[in-house]
Amino acid sequence: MRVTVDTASPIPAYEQIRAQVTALADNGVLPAGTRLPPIRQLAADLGLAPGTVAKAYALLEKAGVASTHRRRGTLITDRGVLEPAQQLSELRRAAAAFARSARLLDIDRTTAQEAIDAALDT
Amino acid sequence: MNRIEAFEASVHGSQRAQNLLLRRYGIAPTEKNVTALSAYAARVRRTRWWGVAGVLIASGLGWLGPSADAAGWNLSLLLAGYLIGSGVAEFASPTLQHSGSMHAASLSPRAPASLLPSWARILPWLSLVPCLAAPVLLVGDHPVGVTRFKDSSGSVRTSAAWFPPSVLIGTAMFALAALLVWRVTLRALTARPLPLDRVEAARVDILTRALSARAVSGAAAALGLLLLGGLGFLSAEPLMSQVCTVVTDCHYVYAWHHKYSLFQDVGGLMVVAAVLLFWFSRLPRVNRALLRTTTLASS
Repeated sequence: MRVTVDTASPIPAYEQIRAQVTALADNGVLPAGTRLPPIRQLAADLGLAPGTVAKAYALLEKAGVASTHRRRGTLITDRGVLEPAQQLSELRRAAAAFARSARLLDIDRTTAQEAIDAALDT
Repeated sequence: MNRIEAFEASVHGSQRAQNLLLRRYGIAPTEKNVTALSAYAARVRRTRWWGVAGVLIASGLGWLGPSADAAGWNLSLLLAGYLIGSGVAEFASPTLQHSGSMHAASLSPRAPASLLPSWARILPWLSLVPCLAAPVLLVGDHPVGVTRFKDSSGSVRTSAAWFPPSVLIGTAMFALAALLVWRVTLRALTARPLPLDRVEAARVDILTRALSARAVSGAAAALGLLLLGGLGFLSAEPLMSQVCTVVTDCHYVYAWHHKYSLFQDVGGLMVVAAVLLFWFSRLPRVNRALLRTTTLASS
């Protein structure tokens, strides 16, 4: 997949890169764990200063889209794990499913809560 | 496209072969693309010849040490020159220029792995063996020379030999040079900017990079094999070394003396393998998936 930068655009180049990589990650084109090119490579290919690409990567990291590792470079993160709002949403879905099961089995609230506590302790 | 045509396309200026090579990898044989491929072939051919000529001249002037009669040494010189020339050609390669204000690039990291098959990434490390073995063989005392004994029971003449130090030093230096040139060239090939503004031009660039990477890896691996094979050939004489204390007490110096022909045979096989490897690494084969990355648009 490619990234394009319009150097004549009023939108800063780092913002264009950030937006495109975020969109590609959101759409699943760049799945979690995908390695992004090194800063120098992307900067040289796009004809930009390395600092511009570094800024885009820093913004991606800040937004939780990518994370930088010393050896593996910059990777697309599993955003389901990192975004607090999405985490909460997933947890609520799982809790609703648990509550449905408890009702179907005619389990009282105290027993259900004990089951949750036991599961959390394991 | 047969192999001869492919070979011609990669190293000679045959336009028909170059058209076929471009078509084989789904690149339109437009005038621009053919010109770019022709320029690459001409540049690479010229620098490789210069590399070979330079090494032969240096050898003729006695700058490279060993005598010309050492096993496989002349072939090693040719390969080393070819390898150096191939490396220099990549540093002299023009970088693709951006066209207009829209700049495009791939989001895939470039690595030698994408340009080369597995064997071409592993085999050149073979050069480490002669590179490390040669200095080890230099160490230690080894009997050298001819001994003649004569007493009342008769006379005996024995000889002992060891690898010539100049050959060992030359072998280690060439093997090290092969590794260095290989790594540095691969680094240059992957680090050179690859803008995707003009897709066809980028595809030709990827094709030429892959051809160069393959040729350099093949030459480095072949040189390693050749140097190792040369050591195998040369080992016969040292292995057959004999010393005598008295006329009736002569013995071989080294335990593996009876295996000398095995060493020579293996050395010969390595030389043949080196020649084959060198030849096949010059046939153009490119990772088609790599070429496809140029056309996948961002969303």
